[in-house]
Amino acid sequence: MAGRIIVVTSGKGGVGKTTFTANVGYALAEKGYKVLLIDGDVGLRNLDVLLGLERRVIYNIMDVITGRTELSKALVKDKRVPGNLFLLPTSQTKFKEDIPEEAFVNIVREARDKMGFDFILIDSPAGIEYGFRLAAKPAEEAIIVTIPEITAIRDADRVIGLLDNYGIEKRSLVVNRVDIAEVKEGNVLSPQDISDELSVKLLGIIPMDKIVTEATNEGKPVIVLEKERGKATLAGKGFMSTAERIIDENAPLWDPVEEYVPSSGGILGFFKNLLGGSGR
Amino acid sequence: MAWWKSLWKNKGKKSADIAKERLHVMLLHQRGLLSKQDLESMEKDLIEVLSKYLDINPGEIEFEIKKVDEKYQAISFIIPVTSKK
Ligand SMILES: Nc1ncnc2c1ncn2[C@@H]1O[C@H](COP(=O)(O)OP(=O)(O)OP(=O)(O)O)[C@@H](O)[C@H]1O
Ligand SMILES: [Mg+2]
Repeated sequence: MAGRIIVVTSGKGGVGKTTFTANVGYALAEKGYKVLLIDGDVGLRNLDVLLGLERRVIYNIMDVITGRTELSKALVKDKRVPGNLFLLPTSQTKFKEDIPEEAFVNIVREARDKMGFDFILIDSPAGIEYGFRLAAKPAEEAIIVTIPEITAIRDADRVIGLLDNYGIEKRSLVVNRVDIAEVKEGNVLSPQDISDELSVKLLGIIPMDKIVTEATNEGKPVIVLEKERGKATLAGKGFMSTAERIIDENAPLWDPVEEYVPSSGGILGFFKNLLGGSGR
Repeated sequence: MAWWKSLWKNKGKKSADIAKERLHVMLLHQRGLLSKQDLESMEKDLIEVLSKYLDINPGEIEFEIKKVDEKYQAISFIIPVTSKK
């Protein structure tokens, strides 16, 4: 099977695209796939930081475009999953337009066709301007990340409309930063409702979880940090089951909202139960 | 707020339900399925027709659009009537 090129996008900024790309990319690599993460947020380099690879960056995409180095040499290897996880950093130039669409598309194609990547995830910048168009251009599938707030959902709908122009028909939705108890209370839109409203298939649900900040602080994917701590987390479960559904669309959707039943131990008591206490 | 508004509109509704309704209308506008202008014209036309028979305060008109199923939307207007003409 040819490798899949997927753009991760949202419209609205700060909803968790980069966090999602890093964590789900890592989960796919851990499952044995060869994964390339491309930082498409030109000028604002982030993906390397989330993965704790910022000190290992030497070359960036601009060096490949200008011919300063080969693609294979510009890739940063994540040694935690050797041979499986690679990052192509973006440049920190101020001008996104410095990266021509065609050159970008060629690099992504080369990675898939000549380097044998199974998954190429492109982290798009916020907005619908050139940076978004650049990230969407080589993609064949899109994952739309949103949060349960109407402004973010409306922006997601804008982006979904634009995907038509790129012929990207395969789309799926990830609802991030979901406060499960609040959804249950009826104070927050449910992931299912959001998916219905946008008419996009729900791929995954990532609960709001403080481990995401801690993982970012330490430059580790959530599933790495939770393993170190020997304690499963809601976000970890969300990223993992989303990765499983990217691999196999018939894998079941993990719906923490449906599973949640307030118990005497409160939300924590219940989820401890659900996650099986210590580790996976 | 007028008493009927609290009675009809969001009384007892969960915050998520209100968000859902508002989102639904925003998306209809954005997708060009029902423009804000069309909606306003519809309201004006309704006022004109109904004003022949009833006293209406245009500022109090409210509407609601709901998805009935994949194909159909239901639109309803609530038009408070102060008195018979
Ligand atoms: N599930 C979550 N639970 C808690 N915090 C989260 C979660 N997902 C993301 N965050 C936090 O939200 C913030 C924004 O995340 P991130 O940078 O991934 O968003 P983004 O969409 O890439 O932003 P931008 O549009 O600026 O590129 C970060 O501080 C991140 O730690
Ligand atoms: Mg980002």
